[in-house]
Amino acid sequence: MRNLKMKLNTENVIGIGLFLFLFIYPLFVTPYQILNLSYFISMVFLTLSLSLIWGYGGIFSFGQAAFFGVGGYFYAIFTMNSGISTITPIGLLLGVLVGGLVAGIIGYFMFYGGINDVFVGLITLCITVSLETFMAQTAGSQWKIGTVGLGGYNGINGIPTISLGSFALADVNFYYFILIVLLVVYIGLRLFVVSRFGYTAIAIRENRERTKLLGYNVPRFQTLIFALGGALASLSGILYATWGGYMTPSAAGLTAATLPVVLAAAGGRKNLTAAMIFTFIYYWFSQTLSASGNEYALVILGAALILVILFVPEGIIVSLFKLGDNLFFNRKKATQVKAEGEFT
Amino acid sequence: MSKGLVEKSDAILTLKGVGKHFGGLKAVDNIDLSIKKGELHCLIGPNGAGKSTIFKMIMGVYEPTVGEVFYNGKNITKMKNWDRANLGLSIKMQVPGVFGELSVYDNMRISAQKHMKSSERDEEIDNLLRFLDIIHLKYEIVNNLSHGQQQWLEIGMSLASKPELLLLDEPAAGMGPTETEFTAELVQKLNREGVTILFIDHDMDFVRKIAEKVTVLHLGKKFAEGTIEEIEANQDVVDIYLGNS
Repeated sequence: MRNLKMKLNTENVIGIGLFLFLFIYPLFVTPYQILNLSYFISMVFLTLSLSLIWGYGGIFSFGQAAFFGVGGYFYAIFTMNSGISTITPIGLLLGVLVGGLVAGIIGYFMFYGGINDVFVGLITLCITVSLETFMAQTAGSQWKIGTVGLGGYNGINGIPTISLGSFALADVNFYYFILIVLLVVYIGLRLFVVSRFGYTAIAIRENRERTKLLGYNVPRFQTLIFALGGALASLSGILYATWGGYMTPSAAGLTAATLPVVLAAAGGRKNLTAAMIFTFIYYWFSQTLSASGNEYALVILGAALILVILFVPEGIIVSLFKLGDNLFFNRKKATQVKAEGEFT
Repeated sequence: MSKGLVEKSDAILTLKGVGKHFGGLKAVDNIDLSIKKGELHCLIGPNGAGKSTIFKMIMGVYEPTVGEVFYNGKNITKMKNWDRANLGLSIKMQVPGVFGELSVYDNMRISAQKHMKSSERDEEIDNLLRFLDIIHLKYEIVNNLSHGQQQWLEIGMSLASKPELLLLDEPAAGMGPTETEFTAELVQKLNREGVTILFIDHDMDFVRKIAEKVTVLHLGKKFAEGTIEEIEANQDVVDIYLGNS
């Protein structure tokens, strides 16, 4: 397990610091702020899903919002039809699987069909728009699955929160639940990207044709990582649905699809920690500025993206990590350890 | 048709009537080629003779328009390129096919992890890097390496897949005399260790030094074949290629 040794660098220090902060945060703030942060965390999974498939696997997707919707809607329909609160964890797990399966099926047809790059972006964009448009017209009473009406543009309301046994997770309990899920997913992804599979994903991102000639069944790996990304996006959708108790087409629509792309790109798509931190920063800004009009956050985000493309194409947070490494850590050594495939 | 048919010979690679047509252009036209196990075989010919196209058909990058490719007697004409790589075929391309943004180690690991256990992987990578004399560059980003070093790294990546047949497309291209010398020794050493090698090169000094057998291609067809002495004594070959090389 030598490879799992953790390296002291800016990214890891900030990553650990962030989680420590998140764990003690509820001690100092109001329940309203805890609720807000739970929402931010639920959206981090969506950015992580994109960082994984785009930053590591080289698959540019506008479809993460659609998988987010699949997860949220599935969880709502499944749990509300059953009507039993103890079934909610099963709904969560099944929803993640369904999101992964849907992404896997779409990925299978795309990647085995030889579709790549910008065309994957276009196809996934179409899927997101189709899903949003379809769900938005399900307002009539004929649009029901079991006893649950899909609700058109207003979506589904009254989605149950997750219950462990008879204990419903709400407020600070829900916050800690979602935080622990994030920690587990984050560590899992960090280990994943330095694993064999992770290296294969990076090879495919860098040069697909060459990777094939090294003996890798590239379409299979692409399908698998796309499915994994779909499962993560689906998890995000489920947590979002349980957080607010509602799921609407716009949460899984076009604007929602572009947001994680911009967040991953601006923070640093090839770095999970950077993508995560930038997502927190954006949502915090968004909430803070919402008093004077929510659009300000989007304007700032747009400006940030332009600056990133012009000056730091690898991402703002990643560049700050590098600056930190140069200032506080021996960078040469850091590069070496990274190259050895350690926990970077 | 003849898929799965086993051809009995000591040839590791056989091309039977293989052709690749791009529209009306026959880049490769009805080529028969046989590479014996353990051979160090060179393809030469003017630009556009079809050499690299043949390599791409052997590796499955292109599917032949006509003809069949056999590897160890097995018909691999329609086999996926990753399956070919896993059979023991490996290639170093003309334009270095290294991952430029990654480190030398990462490049080697991507190839090695497919073909060896993780317990032996890192040690084997070090051995190969020492063999190629680029161990001091292990953690360097590949884009910072010289052209020659990138070529050696790519040979190293091929070797990490433990190939039986190694295809080298211009292994000494763009190298100075010392680097070319080192590459020649490297190729010979590998061949002595049992790797069958088929290579393309324009540098006749390099070819003369190492090739046991030479096939000359011209306008997509096989023009001549024999030892280097026979080829250099062939007036037709001198006229079409060697005379102006």
